[in-house]
Amino acid sequence: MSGVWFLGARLGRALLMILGVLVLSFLLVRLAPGDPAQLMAGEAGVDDAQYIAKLRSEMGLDQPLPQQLLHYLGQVAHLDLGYSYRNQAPVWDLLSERLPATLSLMGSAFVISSLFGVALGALAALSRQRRRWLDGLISNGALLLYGTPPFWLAMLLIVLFSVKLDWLPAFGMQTVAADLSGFAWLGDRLRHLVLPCLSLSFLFLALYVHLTRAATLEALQQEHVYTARAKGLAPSRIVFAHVLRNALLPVVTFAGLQLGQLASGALLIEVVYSWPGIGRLMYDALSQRDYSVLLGGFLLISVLVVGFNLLTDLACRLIDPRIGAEGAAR
Amino acid sequence: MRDSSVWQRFIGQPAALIGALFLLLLGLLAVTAPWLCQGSPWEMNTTPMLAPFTQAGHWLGSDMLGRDLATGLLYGARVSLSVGVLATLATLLTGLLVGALAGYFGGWLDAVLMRVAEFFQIIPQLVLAVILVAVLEPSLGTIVLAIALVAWPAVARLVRSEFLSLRQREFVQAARVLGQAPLAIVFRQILPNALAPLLVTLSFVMATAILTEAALAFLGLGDPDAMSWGYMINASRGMLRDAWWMSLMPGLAILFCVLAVNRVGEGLRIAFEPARRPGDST
Repeated sequence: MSGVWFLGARLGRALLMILGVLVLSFLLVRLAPGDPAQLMAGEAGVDDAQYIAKLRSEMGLDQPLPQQLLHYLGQVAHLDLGYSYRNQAPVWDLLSERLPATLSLMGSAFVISSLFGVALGALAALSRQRRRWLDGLISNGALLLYGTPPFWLAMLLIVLFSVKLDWLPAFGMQTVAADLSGFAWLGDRLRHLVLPCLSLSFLFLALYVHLTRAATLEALQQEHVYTARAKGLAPSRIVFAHVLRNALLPVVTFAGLQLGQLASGALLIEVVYSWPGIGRLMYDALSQRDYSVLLGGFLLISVLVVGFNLLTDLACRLIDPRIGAEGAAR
Repeated sequence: MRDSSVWQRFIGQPAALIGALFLLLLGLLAVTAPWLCQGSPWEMNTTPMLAPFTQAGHWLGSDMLGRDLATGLLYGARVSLSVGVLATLATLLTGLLVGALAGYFGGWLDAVLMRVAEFFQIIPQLVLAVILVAVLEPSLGTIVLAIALVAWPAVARLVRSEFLSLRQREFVQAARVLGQAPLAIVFRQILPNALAPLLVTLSFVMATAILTEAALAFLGLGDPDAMSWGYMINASRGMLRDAWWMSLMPGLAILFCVLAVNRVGEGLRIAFEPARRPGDST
């Protein structure tokens, strides 16, 4: 299968998924019991009859369902995700304003958990023969992290590092009313990022450790590794050129599938740390039942996840060109 | 006897056995909670913010409204376990249905169903569950529904692949030649042979369901009538400075519960697959 064909197929799949997200968020409101317009107005707007009438005509509720869907798709294509009565602002403006905070949290957690997860997982697999205790320590530590609710772990970290030790700030993204610039500004931002980023990393660290360990153990059993060993290749070269290279593929595939979970985790972590991102915005919208914000957030996060998933698919193909051929057979 | 040896291999593993005993004990405590505790978990019946082990009758202390934490923990077990079991059952039924349809009929139906499964695996599942529960209003039913909606693809994919590999096998072909009905073949021939991997996947589904329920309750989307561990953690959020221990117990309860389910699943896997050595996970 040629590279262009592969790219086209994956792009088509990503577009279908985005269409699926749109249809899902369209249906969620209309299948719910009660009046969709009243639902969308949220708790704050319910008393305002004029506003609800306006919403009803905007959503095209008097038209048949397929026409409503087309209308909705047209609105989203123009970045019109509705209006938040509670925040007195268009949903798209609210979301785009908070997007950088969420992306910096998710991005940093992704980098940290994948780097350390792969390193620890490989270390566990490689020390299985001679240093069993190290393998046991890493594997059981990962299991413990996997079972820990991320929002609870985040609170424990606050108790330890903010309340008891007073090393790191526990809330927000920057020191309030501190007029900082240059390196001081950056340092302040980074200090605020440490705990949220760690909290979000831990769960995924566990998953990467588990997966890399299993993939490395599998790769160690391969015949070409025996061959490399038999012909006297240096152990470090065997590990990097023959074992890790092959172990990395399932890890990257998994990373792509796990992005949605990362976004879900960010929602919880942002709530605990009052991190001013999309998750926190959605949490506030929950208590006000502000569905236009909730659906807009779901839409934006899902589209981002599908987009990054496409990128990891392409990365897999770069690591292993056989992937396209396998896709053709399916 | 194959059955007895599977059982023996299972109880021969300390971690799996401890996990199973823990879950049994927790289940027993959950069922008997109304008799073990005085009053409801919402009742404000003592001094607020009582530290653990300072007052008889309130061994784990109380929260900022004077509600007994031990009572809350026991009632929370009812929610976590019932949501865990019900959501796993709902996921099993949905996954079985979709996976069997895809694996049995193949063709375009298989292609469409697997695309849909992939879709639900890639999008942010908790976010979807949050919106679904918020739209439908939180209750035991909507929480179970939301968890099953995002969890079924793993089961469906597994059932489908077992169907694809098993339906070509001789004993299934033989059953077909003998004239067994498709449904009978599914239940008598295919499912018993897919039991081992299915049980492992279900243990994973249940662990995830317990964590998801806790996350929903933490976000304020728990059943408003039921005290749950996630709710207790959320309630303690503002008390981190003054009463950090308030959040400790419910979090540990979730952790132990998830670990126990996970170890039981791992134990079942090893018991059913004696050829693989313990520790060679996945």
